[in-house]
Amino acid sequence: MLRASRGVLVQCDPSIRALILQIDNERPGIVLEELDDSHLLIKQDKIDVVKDELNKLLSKNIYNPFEEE
Amino acid sequence: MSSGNLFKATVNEYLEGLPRNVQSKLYEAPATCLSIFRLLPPMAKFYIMSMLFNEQSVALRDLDRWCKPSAKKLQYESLKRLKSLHLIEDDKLANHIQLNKTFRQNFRDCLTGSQDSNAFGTLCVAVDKHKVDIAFLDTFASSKWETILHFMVGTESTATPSKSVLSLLRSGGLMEGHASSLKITNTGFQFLLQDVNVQIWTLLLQYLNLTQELNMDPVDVLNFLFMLGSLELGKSYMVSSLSATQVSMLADLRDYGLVYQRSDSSGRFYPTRLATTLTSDSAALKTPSMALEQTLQTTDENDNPQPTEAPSSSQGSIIVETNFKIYSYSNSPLEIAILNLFVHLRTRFANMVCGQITRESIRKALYNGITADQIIKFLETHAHPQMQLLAKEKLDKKIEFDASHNINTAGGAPQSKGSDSNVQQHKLEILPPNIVDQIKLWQLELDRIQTFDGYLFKDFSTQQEFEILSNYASEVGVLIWSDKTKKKFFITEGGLDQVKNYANRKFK
Amino acid sequence: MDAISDRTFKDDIYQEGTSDDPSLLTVILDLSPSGWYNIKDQITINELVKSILVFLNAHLSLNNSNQVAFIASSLNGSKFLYPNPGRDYDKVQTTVNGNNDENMVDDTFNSTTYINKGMYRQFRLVDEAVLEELNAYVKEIASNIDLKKQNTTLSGALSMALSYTNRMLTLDQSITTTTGSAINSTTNSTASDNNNNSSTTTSNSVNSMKSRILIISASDEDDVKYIPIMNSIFAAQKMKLSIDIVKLGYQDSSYLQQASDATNGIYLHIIDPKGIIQFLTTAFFIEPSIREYIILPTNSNVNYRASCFITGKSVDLGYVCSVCLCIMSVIPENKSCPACRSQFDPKILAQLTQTPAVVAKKKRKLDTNGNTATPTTSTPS
Repeated sequence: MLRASRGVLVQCDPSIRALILQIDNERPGIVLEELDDSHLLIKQDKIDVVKDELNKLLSKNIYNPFEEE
Repeated sequence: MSSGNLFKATVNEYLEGLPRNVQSKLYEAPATCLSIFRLLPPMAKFYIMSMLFNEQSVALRDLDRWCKPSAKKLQYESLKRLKSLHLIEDDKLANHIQLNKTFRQNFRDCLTGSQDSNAFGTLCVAVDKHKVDIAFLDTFASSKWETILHFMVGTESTATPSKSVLSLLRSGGLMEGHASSLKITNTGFQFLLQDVNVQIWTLLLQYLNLTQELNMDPVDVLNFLFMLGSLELGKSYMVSSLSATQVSMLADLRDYGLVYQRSDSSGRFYPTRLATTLTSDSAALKTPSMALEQTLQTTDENDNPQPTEAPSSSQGSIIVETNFKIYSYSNSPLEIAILNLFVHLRTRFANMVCGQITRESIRKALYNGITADQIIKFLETHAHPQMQLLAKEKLDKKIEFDASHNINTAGGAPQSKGSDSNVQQHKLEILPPNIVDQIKLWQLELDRIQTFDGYLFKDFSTQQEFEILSNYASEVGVLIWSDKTKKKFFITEGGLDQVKNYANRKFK
Repeated sequence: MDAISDRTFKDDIYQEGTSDDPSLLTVILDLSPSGWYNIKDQITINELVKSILVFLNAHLSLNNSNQVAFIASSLNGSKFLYPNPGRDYDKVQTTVNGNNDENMVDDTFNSTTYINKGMYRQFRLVDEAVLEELNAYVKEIASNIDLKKQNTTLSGALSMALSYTNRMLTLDQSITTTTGSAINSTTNSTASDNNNNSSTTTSNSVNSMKSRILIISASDEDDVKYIPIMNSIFAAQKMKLSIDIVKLGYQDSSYLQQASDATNGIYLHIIDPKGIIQFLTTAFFIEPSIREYIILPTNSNVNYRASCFITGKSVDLGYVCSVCLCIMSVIPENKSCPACRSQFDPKILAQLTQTPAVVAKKKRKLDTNGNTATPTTSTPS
């Protein structure tokens, strides 16, 4: 039977998708459905959590010109 | 998205939000009809024009026939826009629409020139004893406007704008705090980076909200604003032809630099360039400082609009190096304050400041809602003449090289595009391309993911059912993602009702 | 990532799908007297011009920076009615507005009584100029009709329109590319006109001007100058501007049909021109920016006939020079191609003239399109 479920569609590249899945592993209940290589369905209230975590992960390897001086 | 579209979007949104009776009252003024028409998307303009000289109502089916199937979404959006403005109305006949009668009549009059001679303001016939020229009006407008901007960044030794301006800034969320110690907010900084046109409309829409509280008729106010947009620069108009509400607006508009009136009792007013460009895309005053240049140049109008020749303090002063260092030969607190939004400023000298663009500084700006495009555009328009000169030389060399070697180094656009000449594919690169790209990349980094709120449809019983519904969703333009083999698709939040209704009709 | 990054690195992302760039509309009005005489029962130039003016206004109303140009073409040559380099628009406008000088007011009102002075200024400027110049131009035509000249000068008008368009486009481009900043008198006047309107197209915008041409012709004669017209059509094709055609009168014009067909334009043969404003504001109001989304109301059976290089008449079946593809309806007397001067092989010419093969082939289907059916390929010696 046809069903419609509410959520947030996340479009990203596969590397980001992998990171999101990793976040989901650590604290389950974020990803509702894995749609394809570049799309995920995420629980609506969890989107900010995902963005924050992602930001932290991505900021790990950034060159800062002021640190050298 | 270009700034032109931005201001259109905000104005349109406001107009669409107006109650229907207000809207239809608005359409009684030809000048307003013209302005509203200009704000519409191209497809909607076409629809209006095609119905303008047609007395009969038009079948929706006939409108469908005009459009290629690929443009369904565009058509749907245009019609939605027209409907929310109540420019088109449903006819008694089912599936027929017709143009708003008042609008049709007045817009037609406007095109054929048979409207009231008063519709576009009444020119003063008598000669003004204290005649002012366009240069004066430009200086007047930009000094008024710059006063507001300078006040916002807290430049010392600038006059405080009038009370009405202050209350606008506060109610618009551009500044906060008590009257004596107003502080600029993040929105305010974002405001500073925008085109003058967008800035003015932001304030004017705020003004409209205030006038409603003061029980002024919004129709009168809007009509006046739109009329201002169609007046002629350098001409004076009679105050006596205005309504009482509009006369009371004059004082406020004078504070913003939109109109010039010699004194309160003067029987005439001059619209300034800020006013006459209200409804046009190409703002004549790009930035406050460019306004000054234009006043310097009104005698020589065919000059390059981005003047690079005459050295003067009022033009661009920023030098951007490929190593992300920025030097600005400027003492203007306004400019330094704006730079400080997205540059890590390090040293300040008597006539210049140095700084560096870093990931953190850009991110800070991005978090504040400033976009990469805004930053790039700001740097471009304020680039030092030397940078522009350099860029031009480089471009000329490139074109020459291409011409002599008969190749195309412009990149990106493949040769097969054919008939465009090489010249058109080259772009003037004022800023080092690596900086531009990096700023854009930093913005991208912030949204490595794109999110859409909406609904996932799944568990279809048959492939056919899936296809019917997903095709419908893509036709009305609400489909975001679909997968045939998994029989799932995702639609926008707003599209749910439509798709649900369609499914109920189709499958039950 | 691609899908996301594309958004940022593409220059023109508009959520609305269409851009609202300013556009230039050039109207060419063919004033050849015979054509208008033929349809004098249907519509007069006067009535038509009224509709055209409304149409011009409508175009100007689309966007503050929109431009129009108006060219009249007749047997005596073509002329720009608007913009006119020799005319000071600002001056005209101030006098019409009626300043203190009473005499001036009277003067100008005599010549432009049609235009309501309360009209929106951008409209009024154009309308007044066009009407005034048109009146003068028609008088000029009436006073010296040269019976020897029978060809319309449509091709000339078309070239003028193309060069004007090109100049407007490069003027716009010159800001971003610095090349081709040759601004001369015509654009001077329009550019300064713009500045007064305070709607400079020459602002440093990324917008590029779009353009199209509309030809209004009532001429039923088909012997236009084929080569110059075709060359103009190809130039237009290259510039990617559409040529729209309003054909009045009784017959289709195959060359105008080809013009619109080759440039993705609209061709309509309007048999009853009374309600022409409806045609102008619907079918002919499809701006370049939305052209790709609209199904153009044009008929598909275009007559692709070419015309003979020697006689100027159109050819169904003829000869083709194998060197330059020049088309002839008769074998030239000097036995050489009129266009490239190649000598034709006398043997083949002899075959062509002597055998009844031509007649035989003529019985074959006529519509097999000149090329295949032509019994030619005469090789130059």
